Amino acid sequence: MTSRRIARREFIARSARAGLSLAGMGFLGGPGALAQALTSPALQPASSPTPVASPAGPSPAAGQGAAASRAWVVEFTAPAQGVRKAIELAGGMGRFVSRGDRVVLKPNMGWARPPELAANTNPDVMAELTRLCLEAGAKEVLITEHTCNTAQRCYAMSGIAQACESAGAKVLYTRDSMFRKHKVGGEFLKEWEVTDLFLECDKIINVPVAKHHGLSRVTIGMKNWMGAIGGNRGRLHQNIHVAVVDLAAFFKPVLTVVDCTRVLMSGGPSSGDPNHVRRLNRIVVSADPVAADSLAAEFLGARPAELPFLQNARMRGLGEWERSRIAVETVKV
Amino acid sequence: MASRRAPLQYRLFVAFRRGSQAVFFTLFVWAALGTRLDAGAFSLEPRLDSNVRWFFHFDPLILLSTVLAHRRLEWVLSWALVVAGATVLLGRVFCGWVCPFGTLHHAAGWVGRRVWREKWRRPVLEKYHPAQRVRVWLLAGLLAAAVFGVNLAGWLDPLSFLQRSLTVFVFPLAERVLLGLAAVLKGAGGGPVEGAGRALESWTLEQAFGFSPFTYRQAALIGGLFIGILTVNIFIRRFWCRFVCPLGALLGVLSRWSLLRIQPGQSCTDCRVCAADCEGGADPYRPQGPRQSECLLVGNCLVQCHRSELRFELGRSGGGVRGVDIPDPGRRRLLGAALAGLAAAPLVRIGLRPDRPHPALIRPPGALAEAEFLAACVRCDACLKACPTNFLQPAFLEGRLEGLWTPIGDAGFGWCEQDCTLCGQACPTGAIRLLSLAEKRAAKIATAFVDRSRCLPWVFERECAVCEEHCPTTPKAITFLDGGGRGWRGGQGAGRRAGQGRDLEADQGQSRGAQGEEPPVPYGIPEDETDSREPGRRFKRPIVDPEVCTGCGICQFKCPVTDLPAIRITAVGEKRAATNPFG
Repeated sequence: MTSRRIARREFIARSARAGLSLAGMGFLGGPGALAQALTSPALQPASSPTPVASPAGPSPAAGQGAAASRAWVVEFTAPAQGVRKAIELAGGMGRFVSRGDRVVLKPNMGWARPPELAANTNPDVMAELTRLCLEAGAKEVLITEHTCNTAQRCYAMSGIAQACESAGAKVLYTRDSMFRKHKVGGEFLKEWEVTDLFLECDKIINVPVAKHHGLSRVTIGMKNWMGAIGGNRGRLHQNIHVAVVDLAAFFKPVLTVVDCTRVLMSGGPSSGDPNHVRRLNRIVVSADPVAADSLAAEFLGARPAELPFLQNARMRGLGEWERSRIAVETVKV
Repeated sequence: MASRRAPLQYRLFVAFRRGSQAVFFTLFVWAALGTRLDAGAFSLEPRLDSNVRWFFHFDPLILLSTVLAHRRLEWVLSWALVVAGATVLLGRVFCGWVCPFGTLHHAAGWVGRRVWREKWRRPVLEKYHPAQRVRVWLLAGLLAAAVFGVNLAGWLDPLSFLQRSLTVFVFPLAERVLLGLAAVLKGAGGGPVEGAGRALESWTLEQAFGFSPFTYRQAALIGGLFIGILTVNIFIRRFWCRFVCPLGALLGVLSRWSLLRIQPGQSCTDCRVCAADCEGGADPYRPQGPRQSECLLVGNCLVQCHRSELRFELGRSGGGVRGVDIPDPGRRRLLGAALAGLAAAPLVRIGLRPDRPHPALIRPPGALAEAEFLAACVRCDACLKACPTNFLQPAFLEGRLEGLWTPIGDAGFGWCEQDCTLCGQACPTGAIRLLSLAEKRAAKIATAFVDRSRCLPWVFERECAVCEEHCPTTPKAITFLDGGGRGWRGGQGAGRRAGQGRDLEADQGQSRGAQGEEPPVPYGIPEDETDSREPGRRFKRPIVDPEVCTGCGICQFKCPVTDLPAIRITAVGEKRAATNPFG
């Protein structure tokens, strides 16, 4: 932009307008909001919210023809072995986590249920992923969840906190002070409170458990982001299939690891009835979050074609749900 | 001011007394603060970090009033006989050396007088005042009411008063202040200051309090009474201990036989300087020594006396003046107080008909049947402190006046966590029985009712299902009517169809499983369960099964219609006893 002389009057007028609008923003939202407004992605040239981590896998929906996405399904006898094999098949953790990274593992740890009831992610899966990240050179592995039941009971009964702390992770409770209003930039969710850990880390790995859900039919990876946000989450249920995709578009994990050691076939997401649990001893890994959800949904007996949130996700370019467009490698360990 | 210091043994006496006060006060506050879910070790069984109930086990007033009112002895309360025995031998040593509430009054008075110097000093109130007998009348009234099953001692018991004030007022306030300070430090920027802020926040939330700050109803009232009664100490030293405390009255009565007493010596000149710092208003300068029922064994008189004339004596005092050692409460007035207590018994129960319980009278799981509960509960609110979700609140008039400050559950603040028995663990008198986890899961404290005039899928045809999602029971107490009038459970059995839809109008008045129809079909993952976007799609409308619902209230708490939730728990259907049956 070439400089030009402007009249003094015009200069004063422009400065006054700029100052008033800045002050107005500050007044309405406080100093924090002002700082955030100034740095928020909305003021930056990029059209979409700044992703916190870019997917390391092949970009979804790129290229014509078959196999736009890749996924791996491992059937195992011991969860730790299964996880290790699956990551190895996907190219090794080093492909997703770099040296010195602060990695957040997002389990499903929202319910005060023991591992046998499949309401939370299997603790052995979480512990093994912690170890793999640390082996790949991560500086820190952080684990947190905005639980539905009392946090301490969820962390304790799920077994995840104990197992991951022993494996070297830093397990944190999601405190109220960790929520920050952030632009989500979705169709339904414009702005929402997000746990700051996810905004400040280097990489996120989504580690959901595959479950039935009373409203959305299944809850797997994309819906797992509900544990990374605050606010009146019940409101998201009013347009769940759009809200879930908004969240999935915002949180960009480098990897999705769907725990199918035990899956919840009905009564989800919390159940409590052991008859609803099916032991599958599988794990699904993909850099494409939509593909991961699609494959796990089939394990739950649902048809991906009939799950609206998968359609929405595909339309937004987040990944592939059609089996024909996913290259799946199935291995038994 | 004396030119010579008091003898060593008296200075040591006072030093030990102060040390003892500090130790027991700190212990009480630490135990009270830690009466909450122990989250440190991720323990599978819900456990309290510490338990303040042990202080109550040593309280003779709690023992006496609970045994009289409840007519049953909780054996663990008999530890109170230790304190009673010590009082018989040594006088009101509990009041002067142990009682944390007394210590607080003592400290408040000391600080108050230092700050305001001589301005507020009322010499006339430093000696014994006949109105100190009021506390004996209060005791008589409370015990008389207790005989008739009305246990109000907890309102005025010092440990109960302190515990309640800490739980409802002091701790939440302190936590908010600390977190506010931490936020300021964090926002100040700059490494070490921000680091200090983070550390403070971490310590406050995880070490000290365990949770984000809780909120209790009547915090202003209970806090106001607490601050108020402490403030009086500026004018009148240990006002509570001398004029109000029924436990002090009881211990005062017991101390008439005490062997250990302070006695002035032969060359006492009656200068009365010993009375200047007498905390109990016991008139230590009397020839026969301080009034035994008022002497708190604080020992300031021993140190104050210029001639060190006061000393301890073992054995009964001679001189035939024993009769006036404890102030005569006045037979007529005592009888009057007892009659007032008897009258209070039915008066505090006026209000509701017994067959019309208040809908908000939701008692904690494990609570005894209402009459027994009110007789055993000492209104200490330790259970409120222990409850990890802020569900338990102090009652106001829901249980009539008698139930003031007893615990009730309010799902506007929290819910009853399913695998939790912490309230039963904290209760000192067994008013809330300690249940096993299996018993707790089956305990029904209330029933949830869907308000179809507010529920989003019922009124606005908007999807929701948050209540069903959170319902913890097996099978779930909340299921869905799919608009076809046929309820289906969120997944029992496997792979059967939910059935065809029907005309909505025809189903308006029909209940689930109407006559001539097959019973609702349990389903696993039927093909038509998946959400579809076709017009005319059905909305999952919640319905509660009252037989399965335990009334935990998580549905009400999580309901997104936050101003007046579309599903609410009320007490009807609770299963403590046959006194509140459903249907």
